[in-house]
Amino acid sequence: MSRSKAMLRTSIFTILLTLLFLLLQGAHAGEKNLLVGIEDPPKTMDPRFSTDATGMRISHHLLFSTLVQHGQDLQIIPNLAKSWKTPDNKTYIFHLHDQVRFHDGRPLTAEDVKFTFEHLKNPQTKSPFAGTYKVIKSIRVIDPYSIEFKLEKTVASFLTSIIMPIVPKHVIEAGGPFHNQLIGSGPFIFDDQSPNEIILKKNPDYFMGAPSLDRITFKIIKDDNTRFLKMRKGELDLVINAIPLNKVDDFKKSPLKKRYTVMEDAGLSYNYISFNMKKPELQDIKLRKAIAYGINVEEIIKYRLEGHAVPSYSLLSPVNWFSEKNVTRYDYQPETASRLMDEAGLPKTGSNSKQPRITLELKTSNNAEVIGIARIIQAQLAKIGIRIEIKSYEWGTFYGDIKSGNFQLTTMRWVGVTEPDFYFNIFNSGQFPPAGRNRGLYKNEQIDRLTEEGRNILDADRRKTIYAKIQKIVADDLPYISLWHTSNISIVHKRVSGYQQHPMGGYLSFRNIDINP
Amino acid sequence: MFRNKWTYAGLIIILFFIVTALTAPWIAPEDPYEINLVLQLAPPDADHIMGRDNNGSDILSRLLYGARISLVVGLSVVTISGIIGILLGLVSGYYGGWVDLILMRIVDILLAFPGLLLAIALVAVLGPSLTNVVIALIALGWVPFARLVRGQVISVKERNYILAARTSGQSDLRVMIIHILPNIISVVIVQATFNLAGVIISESSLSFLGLGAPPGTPSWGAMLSEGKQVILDAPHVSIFPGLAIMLVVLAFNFVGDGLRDKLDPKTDRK
Amino acid sequence: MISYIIRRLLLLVFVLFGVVTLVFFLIHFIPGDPVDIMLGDYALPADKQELRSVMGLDRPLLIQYKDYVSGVLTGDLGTSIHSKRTVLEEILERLPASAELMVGAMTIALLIAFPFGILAALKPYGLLDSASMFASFLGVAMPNFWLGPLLIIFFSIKLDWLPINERGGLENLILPSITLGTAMAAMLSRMIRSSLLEVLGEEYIRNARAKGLAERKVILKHALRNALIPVITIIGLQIGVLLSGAIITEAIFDWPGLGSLLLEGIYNRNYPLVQGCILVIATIYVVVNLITDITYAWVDPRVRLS
Repeated sequence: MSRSKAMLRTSIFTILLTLLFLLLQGAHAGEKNLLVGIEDPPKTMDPRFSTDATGMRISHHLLFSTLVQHGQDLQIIPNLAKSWKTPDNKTYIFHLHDQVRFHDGRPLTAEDVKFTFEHLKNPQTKSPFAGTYKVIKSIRVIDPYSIEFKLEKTVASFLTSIIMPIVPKHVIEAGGPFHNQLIGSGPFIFDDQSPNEIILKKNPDYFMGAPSLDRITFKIIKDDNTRFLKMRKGELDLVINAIPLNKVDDFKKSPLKKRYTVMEDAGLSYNYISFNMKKPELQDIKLRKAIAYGINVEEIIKYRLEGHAVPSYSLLSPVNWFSEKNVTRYDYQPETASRLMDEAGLPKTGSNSKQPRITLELKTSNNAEVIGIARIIQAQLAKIGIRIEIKSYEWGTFYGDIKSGNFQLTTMRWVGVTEPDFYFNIFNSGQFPPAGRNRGLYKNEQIDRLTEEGRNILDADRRKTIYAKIQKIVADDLPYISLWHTSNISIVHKRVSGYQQHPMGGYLSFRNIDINP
Repeated sequence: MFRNKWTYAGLIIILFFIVTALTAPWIAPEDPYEINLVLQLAPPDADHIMGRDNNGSDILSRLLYGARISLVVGLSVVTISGIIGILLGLVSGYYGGWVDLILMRIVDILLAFPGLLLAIALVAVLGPSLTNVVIALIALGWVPFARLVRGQVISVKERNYILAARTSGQSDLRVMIIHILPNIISVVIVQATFNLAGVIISESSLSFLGLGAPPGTPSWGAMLSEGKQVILDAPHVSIFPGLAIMLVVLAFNFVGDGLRDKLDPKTDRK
Repeated sequence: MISYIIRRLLLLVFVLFGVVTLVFFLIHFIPGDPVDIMLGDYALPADKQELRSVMGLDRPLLIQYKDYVSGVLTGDLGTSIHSKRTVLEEILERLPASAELMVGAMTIALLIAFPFGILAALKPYGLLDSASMFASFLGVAMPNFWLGPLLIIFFSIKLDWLPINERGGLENLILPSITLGTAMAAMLSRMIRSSLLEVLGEEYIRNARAKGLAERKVILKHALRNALIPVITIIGLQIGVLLSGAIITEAIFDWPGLGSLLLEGIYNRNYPLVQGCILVIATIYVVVNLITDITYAWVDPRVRLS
């Protein structure tokens, strides 16, 4: 009797233990956790202060919601705002979804929207976006789910500039640190952060429907080779634009081909050489053209970018609706370049072809990849008699010099430019440094007029005509030499479905991702 | 002459290294700055025993030229910081008192400061060039010399013949240079030999971080940093410059050790 | 003894004050602007200027210096420019990783240094000595930015024995510890050798040998104990060096320690963070130094307390 009782007790105990074990196991085993490899930790994910790409992607696309978003083709698409209208050029009325809740359960209403932008404008907030929203004259809550913005003047790029996470009024007004709470209304909820990892968990109450993923873990891996190796070992599910270019093709070949998909599309990033137009020696268009003809972009793309880029002819990538294809192109023509040098009054000196005709200084950052490319350009231009001295500086120093216009030639890139109004920032002569970003000190009255005009018109087709003109003039005038647009490359593990590569490299599609066992 | 055979091995390597540096333009098979992308990352073969780097440049030629950079940087840093250190150490040890107190506190502060950081900061301020790398390395390089010399001066300055020289009315400078310095110079030479090895490593560390010689310069550290990008596909690009650094540093250490045995068996324990 | 300790403490304060001053002006004189680097190209210059003034970065340097020093005196290391977290919080988050790496490197160094050092001292200038000398100098000579990647390729990729660089369990600590520890192993083994050689020449050892004690016992029991004193000093000094000197090793192994925090801080011109890191590193260095010196003085009365 007592023996069987003991046995019974033991077996019940065993069963319970097993059940408990299975339960605990199940909590992790069945979980859908997306492992994403990134290069750098976000400097902050608090959207009020975040200006780095990773921080903005996580806050704009995952943790928070914004009124509108950039869609797959870069058009403005609804997000929190179901619809919007512009009764006149300076008024915008947005109608919000009425079922949206913050991660703490409180509803998101027009009051939060009004608060967000007024809060950012307030100098006390110390937000870097304060100036961006100075153009907002007033914000009026029409009803809990309708809001009206009145602007000081017509701003063609307004819908792009209000892509900004809506923060919870009640939490921020209550005070306390927000950077480790990050209560938003996006598809994922901030869970945990360490120097090597950022973990988000799913928001089951997301207003567009709960995501399929239970968790997203961002793994911060700074070393290029390590990131590649971890991806190859299957320790990562997704890496966006962060696999060394010479390793991308490994994933297209066996044996990796079976387990990974490589998505490659034309990207928005634009690499260029900028001239300092105030330097007397660079004012001659013939010399600038000679340099443009003397650089063999195809060679750089083939040997340094492993083919993962296309030559560029304009700041606006071919993906962009505003991009103008019909502009002057400077494909590699060393003879033309040499002839232009003669015409510019820089003939070959004597019979010694190694003797440079002119010496110019190219300032770069000390990034190994950038230096590698600069050295190729140096060798290419040496062939047409231009001696390039490369001066490379650590990033902070380099950037300080560039933004104050302290350089002769420099090579840099613009990332994620979608709005053609950007031409105003970089080529309008009212935008000279230190206040502006026309760092090459380029001045052309026609460009001044057109860039001013373009920002004050809302009609898309008329704008397109204006920016087509601008692109043509700039290509003829050569304040920049266009080099290439690098491709967007995502490496995705085959168990992941639903990921869609965005031209801006963002995380918008993460809410549709599923992981198949 | 030396009790340890490694010392001779070290001397031979150093000699080889110096000859290489001096004759690089004549013995290098190719122009080390020549870029030939079609041949990029070509593996070692009979004609190019170390293969080619990302730019298709011959690695052997770059290594040979790189020897000049290591040698010039090493010698100039050690010589100048040695001289500064000797002077400050002599003054500090000889006079003592306030001078000594202040100098030694500066030494303490610099010792508590992460050295690489100071070098990074200085190169960032001064801009990237070999001269500035040398300056940055001297900024901390004098410290061990000053400390060593000061200690030595204190230990010999009470000796009879020094006291005699001082009381006989000779100037302080004369006493320091003629009487004290020869007594301690052997210790300094030993220190300098070890330092040379350290400087070569520091220069390549700075170049490795992209803060050293200007782009394109065939510095061994810079070559390693270029090689690191392709280490999975073309390890030969990193292996050879790494071996070169190792060999030269090893040689200077061997010779330093031999010299220490020979010149100054006592300081062995410090 | 007490007055010695008090004097040393005063000196310590002075040295730390010097370090704080030096790092403050050094980092502020490096060209480059924290707000620019933080906000990059897409923020408006007017906003940047605004932010600079709100953060007090446009005030005269001497006033900023005064504020910083008075902050430090009250234990406030400031707020990191980028993350808005306190500097102390950021440093404390990284300290465990640094300590872990330091202990790992130290363990490797001791494991290598003792056998090599002792073997070398047994028969000076013999074959073993030669071999140990070669091995230890090899450790110094291999630049760790070369050794690290090679170890990864060999052990993590070719053999697949160890994980690819990431902080984690004990097996993750092995490669970075070897990379960081070899140079110190080399130095220590040479130290142990010469220290032992010296002790072995002393009278009491000769006496012990004359009494017919087994050689192993002589070495392990009598000689080694006495030879250890200078070795301990060096170990103490190296703790500080390992904490800060791991910058390159941390970069290679993606190790989230103090060194990499410092390097990020420098690149971002995150002034308070850099100042805080250096202050912590320097404090650890001088305190460990002080403790070593005091212990040393305690153990060995021959040390003059001057």
